[in-house]
Formats: sequence, C-alpha cells, structure tokens
Amino acid sequence: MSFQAKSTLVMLVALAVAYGWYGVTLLGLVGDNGVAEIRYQPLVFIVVVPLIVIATVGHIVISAFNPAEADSNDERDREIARRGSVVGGVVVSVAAIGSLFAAMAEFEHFWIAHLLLAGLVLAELADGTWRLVLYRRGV
Amino acid sequence: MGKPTKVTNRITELRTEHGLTQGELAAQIGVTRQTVNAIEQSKYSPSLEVAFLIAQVFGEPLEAVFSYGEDA
Repeated sequence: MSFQAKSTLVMLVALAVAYGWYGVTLLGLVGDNGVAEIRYQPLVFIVVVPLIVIATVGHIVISAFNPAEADSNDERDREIARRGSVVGGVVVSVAAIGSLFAAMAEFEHFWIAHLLLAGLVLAELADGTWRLVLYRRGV
Repeated sequence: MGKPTKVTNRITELRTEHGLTQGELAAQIGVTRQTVNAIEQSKYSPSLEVAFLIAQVFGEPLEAVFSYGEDA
C-alpha cells in the first residue's frame, strides 16, 4: 500500500470516528422541544479537534513505519486523487442542491446546516473510498 | 480482479534481466514502488513521459517495452 493510500485510509478512519462521535453527541442533545432547541453550533467546531488529532497521529505513525515513502506522491497518486475528487464533487453538489431546496421550503436552520455538513462529510468519505477502490482495482 | 488497462508491458522481464528491484526502478524514474508494481500488473497506464523513462532505463525503444491489446 502506497503512502497516499495509507493516508487516505487514515483520513477515512478520522472522518468516521470524528463524525460518528458528532452524530452520537447530537442524538444525545435531542430533547422534547425538537431540533430548533439543539445548540449544535459549538459541536460543528469542536468535532474538528478529534479529526485533526486522529489524522495527525495517523500520519505520524504511517510515516514512522516507512520514512522513505513519507509524503511520496507521483502521477498515479495524483490521477487517483483527481478521480476521487470527481466523485466527492458529485456528492457535495447533490447536498448543496438539497440544502437549497430545504432553504426554499423554509426548513429549520438545523436541517439545512446538517444537510450541508452531511454533504461535506459524505463527499470526503466517497472521495476516500473511491480512491482506495482505485488503488486496489487499478486505474 | 481484472486488468483495467489494455496496455501490457515487459517490465518485469526486463527488470529481472537488468537486476533491478521495483524500488530501484521507481527511484530512477521518479515514481513510487507501488506505481511500478501497478504498471507491471497492467493496473495503471503510465504517462508517456514515464513510459519513455522506463524504456530509457532498459535501453529499449518504447514499443519493445509496451504494447497495446496483447498479453505480455
């Protein structure tokens, strides 16, 4: 597995753990008054901390195991990254359009914000997953 | 798993003849060892520039290293 493939895997794990925690924490805040009462705003920023910590530690570990290949990036890595970004771009576009319709339909801010956030996270997950598929299957 | 490219090559054979490891060839042409492995397995078609560099390392013309639509 190349350094970039391992890096992609680390980012997928970091995203899954951080936003898994976000989802569980958010569910714990749901009260009797509906989503309008949920103070989700601080969580949106706080979740970045575990994301960065896991990603940083993960990259230090994979670099330590093979220092010679740390940060190596060649034309195949760039082509795989480009194709992954295309998939991620589709996901984020769908979420953006969904959010637009949600705003026009006057949904709660909570739902519009989370549709956008879900789009961003799912786009990163789709991008990373597709990259791993391409590393395994070939380009 | 199937090969996603129809570009086949003789890199493994030529590398063995020249006594080079995948890592050594990779270092000479400026890609990762995993990319050389992917090219050898026809899981990745290199750019024209990398293809020429590979042929240059082996001192062969491009068409002696790579072919299209045939089994290597």
